Amino acid sequence: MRRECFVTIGATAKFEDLVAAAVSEQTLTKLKELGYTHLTVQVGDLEDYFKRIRLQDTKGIIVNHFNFDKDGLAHYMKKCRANPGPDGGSINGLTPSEEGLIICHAGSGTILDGMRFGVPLVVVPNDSLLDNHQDELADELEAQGYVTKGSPENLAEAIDRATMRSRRPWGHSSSKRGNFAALVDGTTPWNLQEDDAKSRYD
Amino acid sequence: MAYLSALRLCIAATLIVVTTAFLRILYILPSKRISHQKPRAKSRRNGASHMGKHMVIVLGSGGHTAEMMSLMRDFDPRKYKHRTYIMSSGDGFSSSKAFDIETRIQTNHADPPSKVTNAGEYSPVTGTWDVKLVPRARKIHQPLYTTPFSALWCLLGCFKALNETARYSRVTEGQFPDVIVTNGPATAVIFILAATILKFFAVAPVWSMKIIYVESWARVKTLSLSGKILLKTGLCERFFVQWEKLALAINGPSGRKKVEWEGFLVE
Repeated sequence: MRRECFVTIGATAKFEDLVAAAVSEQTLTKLKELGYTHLTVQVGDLEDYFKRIRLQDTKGIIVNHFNFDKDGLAHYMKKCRANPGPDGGSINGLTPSEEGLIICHAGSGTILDGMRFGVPLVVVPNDSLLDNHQDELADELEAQGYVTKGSPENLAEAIDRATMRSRRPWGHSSSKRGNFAALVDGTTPWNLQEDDAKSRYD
Repeated sequence: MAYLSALRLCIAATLIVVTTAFLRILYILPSKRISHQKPRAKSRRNGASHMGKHMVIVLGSGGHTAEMMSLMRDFDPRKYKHRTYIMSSGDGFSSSKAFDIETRIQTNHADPPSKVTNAGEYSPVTGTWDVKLVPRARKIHQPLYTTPFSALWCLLGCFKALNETARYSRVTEGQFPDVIVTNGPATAVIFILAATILKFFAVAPVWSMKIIYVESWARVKTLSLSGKILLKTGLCERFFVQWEKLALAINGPSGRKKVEWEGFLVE
């Protein structure tokens, strides 16, 4: 059955280490061992680099890559979801699949997207960035059980953990959530009309 | 002697100006004790406030905008009938993000449901929305010593944007926006400064342009630079952080609430 892994390095910063780790021999061996069939890498500006380091022997995994997609990454992330499907049939044009994996840089937008789709996530902070708050975000999300934090050096091991462990769903019930619209409504009185109507009857 | 008295006069004048400015600042800043409310319209006919509110959303680059899309998900366009999106020039594809946000919040209320208005169009149900560009406060890799000039240029752009969006509002014509919402791009600090200056000189009434700040979800242990500046200056009516840990670190054990924590606000 199809089982997809999607790697994204983000749009702004170059992240050679993650691209290299994604198609390294250890990673491909690990993915094969876990039954993955497809690996898609978003490489940004690093296409030449990617082509240079790509291995000829992909251990039987179908490896694809693209630079950017102006329509967003949702399409690629959806492909990583489990899709039981009718026997041999397809759902929304996709053949049945096992639950896959997303490996991403620690950008908040990408992490939120991945968690919303309910796919296991390996988050790899970019150490070359000066501001380390992305690292703190990855640490906290790992500590609370939402994602698995990885590094380019131990990516195969992180893939293993992310696939095996049970994770906390980024759902409505699992943590405290505020309704921002209601909080803003509460800041300025909105129901002047009702107030006026009331004061007329008082 | 004449020289001395002139000096005295100058000092006295300076003191008066400084004191007045200080008291004025104290008066216009948001306070926990006194909340500035818009006076009730005397006649129900001229109550423009019944027509809906004007909200300004300051957008930034990539991550900020992605979070803002999530924050905005539950807003009711029938209450906030005029929505203005502020963007920095050069954030190319952010302008399509404003349309994405609009699509999301209009879809539930548009009439017919499939029709989402474009910028500048008006619908009796969902009102109208527009996009205003302001110059960048600081470009990436811009030398530090030129930053004050570009920041000033940005400030002027913010005045212009505020003035235009207030004057030509189809919902609250000639009135400044009711509320400003942002989650921390650099432009937001300048924009909020512009709004505060307008209140200081009584160009805009003190009850207008309530500022609501949401620290980025990516901030777990420390505030962003924008967040630090806005918290220190106390310009915000409401200041939210999204991680309990961060709220505890800032508020400390004293129980005095500098920032609010209501759980995750992004989805």
